[in-house]
Amino acid sequence: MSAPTLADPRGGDPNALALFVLGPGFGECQVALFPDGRVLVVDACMDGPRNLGAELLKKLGVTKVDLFVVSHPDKDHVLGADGVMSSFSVEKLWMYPASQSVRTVLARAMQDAEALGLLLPRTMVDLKKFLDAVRSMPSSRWKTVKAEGEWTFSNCGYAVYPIAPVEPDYFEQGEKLQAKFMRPDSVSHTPGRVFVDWVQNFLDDEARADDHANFLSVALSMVFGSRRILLAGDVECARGGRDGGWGGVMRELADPSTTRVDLGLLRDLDVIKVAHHGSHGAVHPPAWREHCSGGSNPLAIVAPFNRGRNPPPTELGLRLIRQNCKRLAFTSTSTGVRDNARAAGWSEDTSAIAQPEDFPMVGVCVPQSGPIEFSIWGSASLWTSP
Amino acid sequence: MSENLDRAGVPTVAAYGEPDDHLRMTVLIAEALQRFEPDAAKVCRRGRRNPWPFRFAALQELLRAAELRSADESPAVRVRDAGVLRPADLTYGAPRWTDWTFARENASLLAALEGAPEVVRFESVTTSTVEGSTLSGFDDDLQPLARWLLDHEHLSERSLQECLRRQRPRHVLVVMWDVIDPDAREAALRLSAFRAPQHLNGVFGPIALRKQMSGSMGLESVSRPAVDMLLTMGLLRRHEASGEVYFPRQIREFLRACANEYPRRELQADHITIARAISGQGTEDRIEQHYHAVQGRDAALALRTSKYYGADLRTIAREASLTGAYDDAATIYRNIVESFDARDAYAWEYLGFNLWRPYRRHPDRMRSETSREIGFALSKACTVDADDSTNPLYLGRLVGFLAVTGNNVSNEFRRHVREFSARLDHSGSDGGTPLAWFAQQVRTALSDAGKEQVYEKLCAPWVDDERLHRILTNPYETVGGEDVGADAG
Repeated sequence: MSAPTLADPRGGDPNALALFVLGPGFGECQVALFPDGRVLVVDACMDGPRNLGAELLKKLGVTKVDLFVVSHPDKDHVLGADGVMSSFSVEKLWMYPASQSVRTVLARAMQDAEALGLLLPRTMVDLKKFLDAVRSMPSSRWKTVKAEGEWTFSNCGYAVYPIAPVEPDYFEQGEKLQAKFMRPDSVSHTPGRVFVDWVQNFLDDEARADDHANFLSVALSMVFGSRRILLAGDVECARGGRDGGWGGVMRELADPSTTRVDLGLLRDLDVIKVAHHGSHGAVHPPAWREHCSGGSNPLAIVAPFNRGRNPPPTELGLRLIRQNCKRLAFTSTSTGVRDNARAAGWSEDTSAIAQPEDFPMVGVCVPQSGPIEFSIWGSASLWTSP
Repeated sequence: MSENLDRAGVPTVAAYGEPDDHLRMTVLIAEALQRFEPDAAKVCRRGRRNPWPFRFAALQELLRAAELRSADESPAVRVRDAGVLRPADLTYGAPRWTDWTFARENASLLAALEGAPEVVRFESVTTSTVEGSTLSGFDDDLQPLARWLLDHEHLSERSLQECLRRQRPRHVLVVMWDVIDPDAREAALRLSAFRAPQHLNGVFGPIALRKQMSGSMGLESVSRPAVDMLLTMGLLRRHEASGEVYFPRQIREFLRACANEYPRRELQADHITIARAISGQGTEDRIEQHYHAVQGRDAALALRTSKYYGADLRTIAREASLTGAYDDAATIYRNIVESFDARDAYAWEYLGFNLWRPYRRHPDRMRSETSREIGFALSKACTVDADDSTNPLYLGRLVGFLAVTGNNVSNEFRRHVREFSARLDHSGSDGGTPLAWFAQQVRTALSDAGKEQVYEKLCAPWVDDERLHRILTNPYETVGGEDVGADAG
């Protein structure tokens, strides 16, 4: 098997799984091609006018998406989702929980903004359009997802399990959303402008603690034969003693009353799409010890986030990852990312195979057995821990 | 006379969780009991110039008379209340000036009704008798829905237990909203315009609706299968006696919140259609016509139909204020205090607020009569009700207005700061305190008018008191950055 290319994503091994992780610095998208030809897409992202996920799918010759997962309503994960839906036939759609409550909140904010003469950000409009489109789909083709169920087919040799969000996060954030859109003739009504600001912050990943779209984030564990791949979304650690987040995920998976307890979904991983862009608030050391146990040497892939003060991946986050993991890749590598990686003790590995196409991306071939192979595109980079 | 009668002909009056509950229920109960004390009943039902304290005193007199004179063993009126009338938390954690539910009035009404057990019978809310089932932890409103979600594997038994353990039973509504079929969802939103069982509002179901309603309110889009789905899911219930369908209160409250996602004009048009289709002259007809006029935001129709009360007109006024129609909002609030309730502190406050709003950045452009009316209104808000005499939001606006219009307010400012700072606790938490609310209003008023230096001078006496000075000079931070006053018209 050789390193993946766009012409040969499985590196010459027809039984391998091909995984691409896009991340231009704002936004991320993952595309998985299974040996039976089925395609999984998680989230969407734009780079200026380019819908990177849709463009990649076209380059790979994909015409149908078998499962499209929209992990949560932050705009860096949903911008471009409607483009994917309109450009490709989507067999099944998984949505984060409380998506319709988000839609209600959005609709109200948009009406308030219009009434107050406030300029609406494009993202609000686009997200509402996307959610409207979802709502009009036959209900057999989409569903709300949380930490239960699976996507698999008989004799296919793989399965995809949603492992987050767990119920505590769904409860808390669902209630907060409900309180936000309650009628004006209730005590909890928030005045127009303040409400619009809150909704924008919520979508921009800038909400105050405990008012966060990330708490609704879907995370997926892929079982591919004996291989384990984690697409961690933006799931963060629990806050203030709450039993949600990664702690909640681990607790759920360790619950002997569930059927998943023996699957080892977080253990001995081969590839990890790191949660929340490598922020330290999303690195849960007990989970990472599991990820890297048993002698596995997983490749951790980070899609950086280039907005705000001290944007992730943070030095602390990368340092925490390095406590257990020895291989790291960034889908795009700005000066800030490079500086943080070096400060956290990582060394750049220039041996990674660079592909010519203009995508901010890391591509991985995961065979049924044997070492994984990977390539980088654009300004992506590979790092190791000495 | 109400047509909402049980088998024995006893009228039933329900609390809906709407802003007009305390007034509507008083009017209907008075109608049911009027034979015991007709004069008191008349006062209860009078719409014009009838402040709540007068109306309530008349109700108490009526209930006393009924208790003394009733010779029947059966009650004279039944009241259905699923926790709506229970007093809400009226501490400063839930500011009274944002109290849209008239919680204090509801609490008084409840106390009065509970004090007349011979004539008023409360209907208890039934819960499931399924022993040992998780579902028995959900109340009557939500239990059928919880069962449906469980049966259709949208929630597991474990999840339902978690709902209850975390005291989040209404989580089932959020789950339902994610999974409900689009047609059923549409039907639920449109049908939520109707209120709970009354002879007018209760009669809906696709066939009955088309017979009763003239014109289109989009109900042709409410299909029979969709209504059947809502019944199956437990969202709609069938009234045993009459066969009419209705939404339980919590379900309807949730749906009406979600209805905000619809273009408001469409929903408001539904309400106007209903209002115009009600042609009877009975008490309930008039009340419901008025209710739908208010929900339809038709100020003229709402005023014409306000035979029994007008406090709920603030719903229309508030929306007008939010959209910048300050004159319209002021007109409605003026109408409330002049025609309905001269002791409505909220209406006085927002009369002043909306008159002032267009001039907040250019107070010099205010005519003297406008300035006088604003000052009078803001002052009345602080004096007309004993509870509101210490309302920091109202006092702050009054002091702010006086300062903006060139008055020396140092004494008043100092006095109120002293009073409010005495209420600060020593836990170090300053967020949402009366002092911060007060300071925010004064500062905003002066800042909007370009008179920040006046505010700095007012705060100067506390420059050596770090905590107080911080609250006074950064009130936005300490109230959590939410300027409740600015847009809550």
